[in-house]
Amino acid sequence: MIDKALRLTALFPPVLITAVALSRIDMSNPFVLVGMFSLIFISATDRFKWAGVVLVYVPAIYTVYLLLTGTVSPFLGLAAGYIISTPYVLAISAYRSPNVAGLITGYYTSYLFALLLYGAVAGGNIQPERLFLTLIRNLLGIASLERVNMTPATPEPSAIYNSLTAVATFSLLACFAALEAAKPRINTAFIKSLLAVVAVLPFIVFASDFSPAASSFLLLGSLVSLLAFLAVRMRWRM
Amino acid sequence: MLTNQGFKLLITLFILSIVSSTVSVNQPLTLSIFVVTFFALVYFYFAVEDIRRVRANDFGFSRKLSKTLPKAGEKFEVVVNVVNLAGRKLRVMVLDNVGSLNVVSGSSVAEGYLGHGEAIAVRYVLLAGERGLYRLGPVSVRVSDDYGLVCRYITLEEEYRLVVASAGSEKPRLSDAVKKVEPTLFTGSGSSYQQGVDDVFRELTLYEEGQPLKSIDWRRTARENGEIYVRKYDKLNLLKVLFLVDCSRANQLGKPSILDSSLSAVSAAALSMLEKGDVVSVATVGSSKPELHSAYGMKDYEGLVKFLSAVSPGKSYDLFEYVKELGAYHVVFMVGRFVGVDGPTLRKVFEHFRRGGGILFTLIPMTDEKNRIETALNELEKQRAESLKQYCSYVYAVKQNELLPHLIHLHKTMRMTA
Repeated sequence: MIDKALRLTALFPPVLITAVALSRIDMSNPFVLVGMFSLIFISATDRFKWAGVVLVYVPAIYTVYLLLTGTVSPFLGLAAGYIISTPYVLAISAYRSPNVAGLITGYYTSYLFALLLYGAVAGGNIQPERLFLTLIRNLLGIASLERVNMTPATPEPSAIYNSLTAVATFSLLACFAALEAAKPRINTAFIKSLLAVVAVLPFIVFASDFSPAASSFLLLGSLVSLLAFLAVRMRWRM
Repeated sequence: MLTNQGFKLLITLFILSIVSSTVSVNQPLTLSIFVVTFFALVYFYFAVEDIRRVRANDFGFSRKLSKTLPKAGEKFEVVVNVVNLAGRKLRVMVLDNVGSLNVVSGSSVAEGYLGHGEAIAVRYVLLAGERGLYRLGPVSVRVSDDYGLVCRYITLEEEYRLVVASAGSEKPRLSDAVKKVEPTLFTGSGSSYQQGVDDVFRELTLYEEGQPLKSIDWRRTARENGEIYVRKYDKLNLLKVLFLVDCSRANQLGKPSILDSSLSAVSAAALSMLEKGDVVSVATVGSSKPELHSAYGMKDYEGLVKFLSAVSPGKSYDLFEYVKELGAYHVVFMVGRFVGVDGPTLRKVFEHFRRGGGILFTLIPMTDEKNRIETALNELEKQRAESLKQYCSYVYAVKQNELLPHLIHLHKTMRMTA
């Protein structure tokens, strides 16, 4: 129960950002909703799986038929529905993941897609067709050398989202303690690590506020150094 | 070391850290990933340090086998108990290595949280298809952290060597001794050991703890005031018996192989002989490690069975050269096909033992006839046995499952004439 609550808390920011983005999208094309809910049904529970498969295949075949007869809008709407459901699908898979690695991967990718979606909507792409094409362009942009950073800024008001992200981060840490157990086990190593994080956090926040451009590289550099140090030390001591 | 889950987590976090600080920088998300990665790395370090303090002597260990000397094809249970003596709660997984033995039921792995003094048991049933020397263990304990991210393997014992005896190493039945076999010079009337000719009274002594109750002289004891007396006997007709077993590859014929049948029969016959007070030696010619093993009493029987169980076929050999090194025996049983032994060589071997006052019997086992090839082969063996008889009288071609009755019968007749 605690584990589920922690997971829900950790996944709340991407879910919220996606919900904000969805509230701005023009839902006049019903195929957007069909595409979105069919994917969510498939990934949600095993109970809805067969219904979800029907919901995927029937509209897909029908929209392809319409596309071939010259009506493009339903096809693009369905495709946009699939794409905008991605953060939720990833969040669901993270929630259902049996291990921490899956949870963190799901959390990150869900958050990332939510930001991409929000960025596209914030850029005025509220029509499903335009949204679909913009998201595809953004995703393809990862491979191009012209764009260095693919992620847009945090939605406004940023303070709320930043706070939610901070809470989600500590929920993720707490998920370690609830791993593979009915009730959380907090051991000495966990407390020591948590204290270390709390001790280091002010410096990180200060560094990222002081120089946002260099902070990411600073963080990466420090992680690599820490990893190398631990690898050498553990090898030496074991 | 990291567990699979720990390793996956480390790789995932490392990839996410690189992505979130290069191609997809969003300050809150990047910081979030950094915090989680930093936490995980520091946690790995402290957890490893914590587990490193656990030592092998923090665990009590015992291994119990339902049969210490199981036979081929026989099931036996193995119970491994591991007790946590570390003074704190540990998450452990006990893993036992069964080597080439087959697990019939149960599992050789058990996992659980153990408080101080608590035990975990690994219980499984094994089956060895063939006789031989098997390796069991070593038992290792995987101690992991509470979240299963880092672990350490601790080995609790050396490999346990398990001897699996031949399926037929059992006590011969009475019917084995009375089975009708080809008459020899030694069959017929003789002293009856039922009347006690085996044992001749030597002395009467005070009873000491551990002596068999059947040796108590109740009549004398009744006459004495509180003292218990026992009768001691000397065995006058002790025999020094030698089994010369051919372990060369030619004896791997048949199913079970002739070698296995020979070893089973020798093992069972040796038990009978040792019970009667004889000294039994077994020489394994043509084995991978030709050796002579002697048993001087029942206490040595287990060692003899272990020795026989570990025999494996080896290279060719010169029988007479081998026999020349052996001493004098009262009875020598050559058991096996001895395909490289011709009449003159057998004669020389016979003469060698005869000079030492012994008698040589050669038993050539034949396979159970299951097809025409085996029938033809048995016919050839019979003819070979007949031709060898020209050089040495006591050569018998016998079915592999009738080896034991022949050995018992020959031994019985030898004791009667001794």
